[in-house]
Amino acid sequence: MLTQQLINGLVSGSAYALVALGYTLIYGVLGLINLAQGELYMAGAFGLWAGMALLKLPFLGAVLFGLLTAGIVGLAMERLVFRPLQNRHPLIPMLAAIGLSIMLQALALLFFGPETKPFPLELPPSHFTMGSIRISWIQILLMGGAVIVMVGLIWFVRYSKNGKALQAVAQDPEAARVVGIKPEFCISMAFFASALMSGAAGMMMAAYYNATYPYMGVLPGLKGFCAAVLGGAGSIPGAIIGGLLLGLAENLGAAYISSGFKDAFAFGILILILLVRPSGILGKRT
Amino acid sequence: MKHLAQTLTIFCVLLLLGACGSDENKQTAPTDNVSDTITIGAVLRLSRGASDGLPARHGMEIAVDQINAAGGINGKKLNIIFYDSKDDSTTAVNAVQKLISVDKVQAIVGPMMSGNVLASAPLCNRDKVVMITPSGTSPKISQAGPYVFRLCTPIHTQANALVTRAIALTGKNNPTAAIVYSNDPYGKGCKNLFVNYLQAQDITPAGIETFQRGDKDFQAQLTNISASNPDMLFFPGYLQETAPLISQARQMGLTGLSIGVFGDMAPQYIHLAGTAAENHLNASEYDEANPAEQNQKFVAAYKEMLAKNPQTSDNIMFASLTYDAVQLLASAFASGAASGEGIQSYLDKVENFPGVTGILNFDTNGDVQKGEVYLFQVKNGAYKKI
Repeated sequence: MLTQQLINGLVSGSAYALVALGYTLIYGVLGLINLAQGELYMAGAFGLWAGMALLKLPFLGAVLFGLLTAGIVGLAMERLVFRPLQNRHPLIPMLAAIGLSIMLQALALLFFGPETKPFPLELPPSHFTMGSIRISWIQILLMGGAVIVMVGLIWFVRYSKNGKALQAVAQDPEAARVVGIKPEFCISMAFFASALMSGAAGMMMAAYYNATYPYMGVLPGLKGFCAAVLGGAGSIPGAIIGGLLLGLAENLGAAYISSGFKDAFAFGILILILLVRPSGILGKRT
Repeated sequence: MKHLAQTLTIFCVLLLLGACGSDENKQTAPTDNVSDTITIGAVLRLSRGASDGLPARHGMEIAVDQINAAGGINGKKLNIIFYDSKDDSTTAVNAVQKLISVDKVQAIVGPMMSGNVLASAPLCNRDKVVMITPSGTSPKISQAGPYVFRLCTPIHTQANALVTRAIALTGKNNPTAAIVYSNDPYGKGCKNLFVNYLQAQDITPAGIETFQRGDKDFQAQLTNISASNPDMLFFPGYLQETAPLISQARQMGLTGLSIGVFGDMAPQYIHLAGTAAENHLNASEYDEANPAEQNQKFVAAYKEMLAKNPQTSDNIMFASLTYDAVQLLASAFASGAASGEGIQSYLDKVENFPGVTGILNFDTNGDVQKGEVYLFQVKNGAYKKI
């Protein structure tokens, strides 16, 4: 029973970790908390749904379409809202992000209606049994997908040329410009990558919970933010650890304390962390 | 400073305008109370809960159109004034008050939720105006007074019928059960009834778990009950949660018979849950497949209405209940009942009224009697009466 609950926690935790990575990437580069991250999660899920149900794409094509949708929404956010506000007081982009999030929800409501949509592909219930542990294939697929996306991101940031440029911009945009890096391009890239992370999480959870709807990003967005703060804002491994821990804590709390107060555990942890260690688990003390 | 004052003034004016705008929530133009029309009032869920309320409204409109097209009632046209209950008892009571004292309606259909019905009942009894609730299921409505009638089965009768039939369907002598309920008054009330009726059959649920409205992740709760793979899964709640709940339960390998309540009784539930909904057991008030000519005519009218109003959800059960409410009132008017007392005594005495929801009678509490609780099971992707 405990192992089973741990697995449940890891699955939802890996989705939080992906959203937290989205926050962390942007925070690391711009020092901006993009509170519309949850809506990128929703955009990915709706992209996948629209790809399959409306455009009749095959599953993998629809996944790419979903990622692309989230990516384009992310790029548009940066280009149309955050770039013009770049040199303003830091509160202003944050307020703009809240506005963006409400606007995107309203747009989804307008285009897709308030009704929950089922996942377009019906997944057969099948399991993988190992001793007393039963893992459904969908859980394995989701965790595997999350690991691939995370490894891809780490490789991109640490080892690819563009990723190194991104790090340089994060450290000092002016110096980066001197050595021939275009900071605007790097920031757009960070937004695109962060949108891909959240969009991937949204698609995974739409399949797992069999539900796609306009407000689906609100809670995961907040929980991803909690996870990013928990792990240490700006730290990539921190975001992953934060997300997994949050998923575990939430599921164990729901399983052994009270199933009605799942969300309370997540936000309780956020408050605790802010009180005890404001810089997060892997964050640098400043 | 001057700027600030100006802004404030504009703001106040805007606020006032906004307040005036929202005050006018009347849905149909009031009629001049001339004697060639009979006016009924309706208090329905037209904004919050509109997926149930709009079908209810259209059910009434279908009935009125049919009656007026056939020449009205003794030459008089039937007319309805709709108000929105906003799922709020105060709003519902105000609407009922206005219908009685300002619009001077002959009778009222609604409200749709038990709490709103119980709050408005004293007004109707005091002013002797008949109120027919299409869908208030609380047991307390039976004692709400002589002027309150209802067209649906009280919740405890439904729960008892569901438990008895579910046990029979498992085909076991001593089946196991688990309950995962929505943590709101409706889900909680259903949960308590299920527990009581299960215990009356010597079954103690192996697990009782809960979730909040809006939740989509039920893994922790389901894992807790999955160890014993219970024979019966009671999931009282609303389809926005219960549909993902049943698909996640099936994904997890739970194979027991699933049992739901009113909240799942819509095609949307099957659409969302897909094959996971198969064999889902539920209680309803209306059988769309009833071959009676009157019902077929109603179904055709409803389909036509749906085609014209794509924003209305396909939830014909609520339409059928309000349709019958209007038909009952119309037959009371046709019999010459003109006052609240007259309508009340007509409904009390009405015998075997042929409605689309069944052959209707009322008991002394004003609860409808139609012989049985209609039970439905999902077969090949559609609810079938069993």
